[in-house]
Amino acid sequence: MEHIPILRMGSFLLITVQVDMHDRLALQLQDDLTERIVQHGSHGVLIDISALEVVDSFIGRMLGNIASMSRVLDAQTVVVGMRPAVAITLVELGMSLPGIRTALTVERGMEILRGDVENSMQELEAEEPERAADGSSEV
Amino acid sequence: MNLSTETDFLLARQRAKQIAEVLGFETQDQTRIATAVSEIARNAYEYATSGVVEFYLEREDQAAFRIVVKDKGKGIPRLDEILDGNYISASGMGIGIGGSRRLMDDMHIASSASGTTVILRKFLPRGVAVPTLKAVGERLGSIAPQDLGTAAHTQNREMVRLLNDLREKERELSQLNQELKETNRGVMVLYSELEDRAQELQQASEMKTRFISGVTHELRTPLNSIVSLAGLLIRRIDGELTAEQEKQVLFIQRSAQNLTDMVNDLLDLAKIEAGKVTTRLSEFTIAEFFAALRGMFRPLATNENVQLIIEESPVVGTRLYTDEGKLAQILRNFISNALKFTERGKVHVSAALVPNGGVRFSVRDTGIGIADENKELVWQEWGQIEADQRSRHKGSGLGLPLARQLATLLGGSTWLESTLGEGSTFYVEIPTAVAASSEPAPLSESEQTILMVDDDEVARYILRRNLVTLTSARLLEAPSLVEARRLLATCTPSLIFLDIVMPEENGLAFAEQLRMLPDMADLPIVLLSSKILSAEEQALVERHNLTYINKDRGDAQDQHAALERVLLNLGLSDLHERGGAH
Repeated sequence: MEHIPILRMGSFLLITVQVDMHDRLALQLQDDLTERIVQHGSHGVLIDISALEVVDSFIGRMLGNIASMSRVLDAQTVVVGMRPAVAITLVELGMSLPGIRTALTVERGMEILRGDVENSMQELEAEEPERAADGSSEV
Repeated sequence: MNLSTETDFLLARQRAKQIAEVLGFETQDQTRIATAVSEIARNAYEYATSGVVEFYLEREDQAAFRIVVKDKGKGIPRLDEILDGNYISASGMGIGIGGSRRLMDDMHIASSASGTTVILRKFLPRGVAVPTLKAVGERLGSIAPQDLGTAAHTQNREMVRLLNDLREKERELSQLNQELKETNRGVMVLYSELEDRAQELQQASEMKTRFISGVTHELRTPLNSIVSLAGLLIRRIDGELTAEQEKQVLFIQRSAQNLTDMVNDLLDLAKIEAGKVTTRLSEFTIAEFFAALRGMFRPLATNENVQLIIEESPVVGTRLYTDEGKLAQILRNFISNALKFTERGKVHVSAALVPNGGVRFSVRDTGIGIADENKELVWQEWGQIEADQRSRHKGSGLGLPLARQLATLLGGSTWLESTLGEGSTFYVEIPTAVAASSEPAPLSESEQTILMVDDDEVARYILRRNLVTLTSARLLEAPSLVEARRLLATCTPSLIFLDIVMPEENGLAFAEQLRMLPDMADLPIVLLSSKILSAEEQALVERHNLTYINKDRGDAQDQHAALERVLLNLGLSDLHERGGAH
């Protein structure tokens, strides 16, 4: 059974999707990831899809699901490295990837996540629910 | 392309993208086409479990890339709603089909209860030369389309095929095994049947041998008495005979002797067949042997027209080490046979050495000869040839087969040459020395009393007559074992002659009892009987160091010689002149 590797970087998890994901693989990733989030108490997940040439509605939905599940487990998800052609196609297809934050590179993605974590700490201290945009955008 | 596994639509969309690239679509359009194919193909696989993806290149009006996805599912319900974008799918977002339509230039869906066909069309960019199909094929062929999953999938399929092959092979093997097992069982059954049959045959053979030795024993006892008594008469031991009486007694003796010989031949043959004959080896020269032969045949040469010549050749000085008695038996059979079938002329006996360390005796006659077709017959038991000459002579037809058997026993062979009407030559060739076997050790010298135990008065009488000419030892007679025990209590003889077959008890058992007594443990005991010993009895004889003399062997002279040998071995002989010829 093939797996997509999930790397741990501090309090974040990094997933680099390098193969053409078929459905079973995507579902497997979903299971693996939730398990790891719980295991390491991670607060952020970076999904690098720079190698993917095609993202269809199913994969898009999977990404959405992963983001939602991670959020429930107290982890933010940032999808990074999406190709322009893929982005255009997704939009044309009618997919909006709700709840998924994106960044152009892994570094930017990390910044977003760090900012998020700091913010949530401040929020805990100040008990003031205010969120920083930090250049992040919602698609 | 077939859509039968979940990774197939990945391949389909890869293919679509590759074709789009070859056709000159821009990256964005390649992605659009691939995504649309992915959506539609996934639907086909997900809802109809299988389908077919076909790629076409249209050239009419405006060149276009056409992709047709067909499946045989139940069709798409509420197609209109989906196309309108109003449908919310339970499993997803319901945007696959609608989204695909937006991605492609043209989309046509034909859906019914027996399947769905989706035709996607994307126009080739303007100003781009439309490549020929052949060029597309070549370009596609140069791209390695197989990803890892596909390779694994192919390998998997190969493995499954191999596994099936293996399973088939295994099934064949087990079937073959089963067949082999059954064959084996059959063979086992056959084998046991054969074994049973062999056992039956062996039993029959043993029964035959037992029967023959039994019958001959019964026949020979009275025959021996006749021969021996006639011999006593002729030797004038009981006074003179008239000429007429002597002639009559001689006839009696000869007839009885012929009968005994026949019985003996029969018995010998049976014994050889039963493997109960052992050779008694001794060293002698051919000259000595020929002398004995001459002595044997002098009284038998009754036909004055036939001359028996035993040739004195230079080889007669050769020393032989073999069984003299058996060799004599072979030649006796040859010679008497030759004499029987020769009306007039001569019977010529000669010896010659052969290169490989053997000696060849030949008996040439000028008799009736043997026809070619009968040459094997004469070597067969009871094989007698119907001939005029034949009817005048009586015989068992056992002589030649016996000679052949005996020659084999001595490590040699027999054969014949013959011309009908001119005569025959019989040959026997044996090695000059037979491999040595252990001879019974001579017994030590002892006292001068001999006890004879035999229930047969005639037998005791003959034995006594023979012994008195050989030894001066005191002779005691016991008609029964009871009497023998009584006599043994009073004195210890230096030799006991013991008959085996006696009414109240077996002589062998008696001997065995004697061996238990401390002062009898080394007493020489000679079993003098016409009974043929069984294997167990033979073993008993050997275990208790007994001597066995068959009292039916040979004529009176032979027996005389045998007794003399025993006495000589024991140092009981008074060194009277040797009576026997061999």
